[in-house]
Amino acid sequence: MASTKEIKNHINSVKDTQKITNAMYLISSTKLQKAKRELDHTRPFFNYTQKEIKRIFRRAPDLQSHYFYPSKEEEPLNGTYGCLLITADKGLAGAYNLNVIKKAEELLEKHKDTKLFVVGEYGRRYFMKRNIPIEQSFLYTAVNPTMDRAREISSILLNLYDKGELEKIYVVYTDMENSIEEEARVFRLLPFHRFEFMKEDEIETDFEFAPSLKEVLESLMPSYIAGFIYSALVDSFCSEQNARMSAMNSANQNAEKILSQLKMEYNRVRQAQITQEITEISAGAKAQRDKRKKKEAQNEHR
Amino acid sequence: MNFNLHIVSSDRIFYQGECESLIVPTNDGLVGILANHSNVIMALIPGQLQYRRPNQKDEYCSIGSGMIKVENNDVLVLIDTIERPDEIDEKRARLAVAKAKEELLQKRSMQEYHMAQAHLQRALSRLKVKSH
Repeated sequence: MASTKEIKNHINSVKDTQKITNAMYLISSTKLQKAKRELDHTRPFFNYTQKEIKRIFRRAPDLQSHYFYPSKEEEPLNGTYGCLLITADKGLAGAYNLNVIKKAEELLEKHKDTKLFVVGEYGRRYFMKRNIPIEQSFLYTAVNPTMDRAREISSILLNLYDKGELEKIYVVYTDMENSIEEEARVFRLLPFHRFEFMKEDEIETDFEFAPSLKEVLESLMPSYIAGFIYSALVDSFCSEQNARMSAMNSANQNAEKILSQLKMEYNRVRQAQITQEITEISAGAKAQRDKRKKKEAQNEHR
Repeated sequence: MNFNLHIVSSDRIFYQGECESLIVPTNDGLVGILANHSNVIMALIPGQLQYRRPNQKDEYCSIGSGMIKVENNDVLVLIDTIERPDEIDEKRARLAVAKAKEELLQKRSMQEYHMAQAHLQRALSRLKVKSH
């Protein structure tokens, strides 16, 4: 059995760890709330933009633009694909990072010629360690996503896409379905799927387009893509914080459990020690008494 | 005569309500919109947006790129950024102009060139709005 001092040390170190995990839990929950609030502010813009693109599409279903799949549907495009992968900067968030990385690796396996654009330190290190080439100059952190960063990312990707260096662009991110569940998702950002924008049919008013339909569409695209990337960043960030919160929560509970076990053990050891001491003392006292009694008896005899 | 105006930017819903007159920057110059304008969708470029609420003075804002849709007296302006004059930091805008001009002079990648150009345009429109 360990000595009381050892157990005490152990208890203290578990307590210290628990303090850290508890602090991380609190930090994650405030960050989550902040990010969610920001996402709510951008949602209307994003929804409107999507609606308008759909509308433009319904007006001119045969519009040719390199943002859309060639109208002779679904001939596979061969060439370099781009993959925007959103991971966290740090670990300690349960399976959050591994889930998205797994999705990205599946994508890599299906199409070898894929360029990885990784957001977040964790993902970058993961691929570097395994000698999987990633875009080196693409350095963005996943913490506190802003519209500006999303715009920069989208301009980098769009620029490559416009030049024809990337044939397709995927986004791998984590979507928070509700406050408990989250899921890693793969989404093809470009080229657009024609039919995705043409689902519902409404009776439309006629519009005049200035300067032309195509130009309106093309001026709308960058904001749509930046908007999508932004919401993916925020969504991932929220999921990360959420994953960290639940990881830290279970770490807290675990620490609680270990602490109660250790306390029990500590008390047992302490009690055993006291009992032992008492037995020793009383045994010693008894021995002394017996000795004295013997002496007295001998003295009386004389 | 008034029409309904919604101005939505990427970080907030900027304005929702009645409007008497609206002037927006497009590739072909400034376009004014009054009530009962014909239905139209136009691309917007960074510049100065001007709108007037009923019985009030004109208000000026600096906007980024986006689009405008006029549909049956209902106007929707979708832009990535919008700023009121009191939200614009003049000193910063001046610095941004200087920086963007310098960047334009250096030979760099096309992407950086376009970014610098967009920066310049935005910064200039901010200064213009601020000067009103």
